[in-house]
Amino acid sequence: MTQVTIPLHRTPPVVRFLIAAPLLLAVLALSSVAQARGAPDSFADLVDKLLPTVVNISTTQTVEQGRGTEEFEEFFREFFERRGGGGGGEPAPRRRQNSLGSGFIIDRTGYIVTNHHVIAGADEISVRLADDTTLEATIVGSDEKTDLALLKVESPTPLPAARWGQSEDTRIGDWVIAIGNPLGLGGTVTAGIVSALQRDINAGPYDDFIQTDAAINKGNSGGPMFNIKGQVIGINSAIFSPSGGSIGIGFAIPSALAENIVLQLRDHGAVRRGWLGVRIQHVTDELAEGLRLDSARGALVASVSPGGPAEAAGVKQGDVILEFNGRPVPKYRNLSRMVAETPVGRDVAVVVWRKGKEVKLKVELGELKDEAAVAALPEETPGGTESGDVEALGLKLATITPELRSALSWTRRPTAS
Amino acid sequence: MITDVLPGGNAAEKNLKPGDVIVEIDLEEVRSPDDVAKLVEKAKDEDYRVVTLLVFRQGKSDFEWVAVRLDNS
Repeated sequence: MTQVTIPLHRTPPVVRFLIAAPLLLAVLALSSVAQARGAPDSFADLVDKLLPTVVNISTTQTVEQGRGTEEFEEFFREFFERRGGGGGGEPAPRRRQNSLGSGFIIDRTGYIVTNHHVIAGADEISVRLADDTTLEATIVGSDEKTDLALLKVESPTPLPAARWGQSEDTRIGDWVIAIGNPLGLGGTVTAGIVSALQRDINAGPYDDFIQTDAAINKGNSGGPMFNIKGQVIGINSAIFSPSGGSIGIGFAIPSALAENIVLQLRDHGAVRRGWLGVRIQHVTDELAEGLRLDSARGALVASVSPGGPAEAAGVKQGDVILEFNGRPVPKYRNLSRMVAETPVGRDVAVVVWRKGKEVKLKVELGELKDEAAVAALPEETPGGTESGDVEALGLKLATITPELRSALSWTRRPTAS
Repeated sequence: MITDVLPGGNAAEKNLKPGDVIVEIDLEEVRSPDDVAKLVEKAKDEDYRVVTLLVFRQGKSDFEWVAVRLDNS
């Protein structure tokens, strides 16, 4: 995600009052950080056009009596607080039958984007449009890992649809507008700025959230985050909150990820993720130094799946993946997303750092299946023989038993290079 | 194989545990504690402050790369 950095030293001598379009204001807000006090006169003209594209989603779920022990409910209460949504107003749901969320129309024929957690487990889903028309919705596809779902409603007339924007062009400090159904208050508009990008909040394997201070509350889940051009750059999905209410820390799934997932859900009803066949780890400063790499970047290959695409392409344990598909890999977490976003079967150029040199490889991506069982080694510690201390490391060592060694060689493919 | 980790040492800091197996150091395979000692000495001689261990973590049943600082002794 390379972005052009605009120097911030061109500070205007006076604070200007803007009466013009909000677009201009966004530019001013960026160029005058020291005096960033101005708010746009109004988002009204923009919001006017956006409101009809946003919908309220309510679901009905039959919950069996007797399953909800207090412990169970406590778990879900915490879960919903952490995920920041799914639920209606009450802080502690009790055998909830209904839940509320948000969504937006992405296609005039009636495709609606929302969060997976808004519709998960629902028996019936109904969508209320901005003009109060209520329509039954069916699930086209839902993806738990990215927390995205695509619904379809049948409407006799074309519906007003929102447009995707480029979340990759979004910068920290840009204005954003959230529209949704917080606590069942449909058509609620809030505004804020992008507080941070690429947030990993441990919600899933592809975390890459846009953080905002626009007020987002329960029921906002699945609703759009618009940029100042009125394009969808995110899907509001989670909040951090000790109280359950907004404290100005909300998270949206970036459109760069969502758009691709939504297309796949529309075309296949499911997501086919690219698979590289490596287990990767974070490159710390120390590992970078140990690997003679100029800076801590990329993804370090801890192991290569036997028979996987990476092995076929010649990726080796100890390689640092620096570039994938022509884009640099800044951190190891980015790679999972980059791979998942890439269509299955495509030939992808990969640059790795190996023994002090960059090596170019070509990988044909496979399809990610559910995780294969890992051959487990005995948990107990088999006895060692000959021992030795390595003081510089602070370790006492022993030679491993032949049993363990053979188990290891079985797990580990030869890495002759 | 690691049988003991000295408390407060550089390896302890990296959460290395008894039972973990050092498979490689600086991309060279090790077969015995002697190999480990030799490669650590070599790294020191070459003025490196860090060695990179490929460790098989028995607890996780998987490999992990661990960079460990060398004491300047």
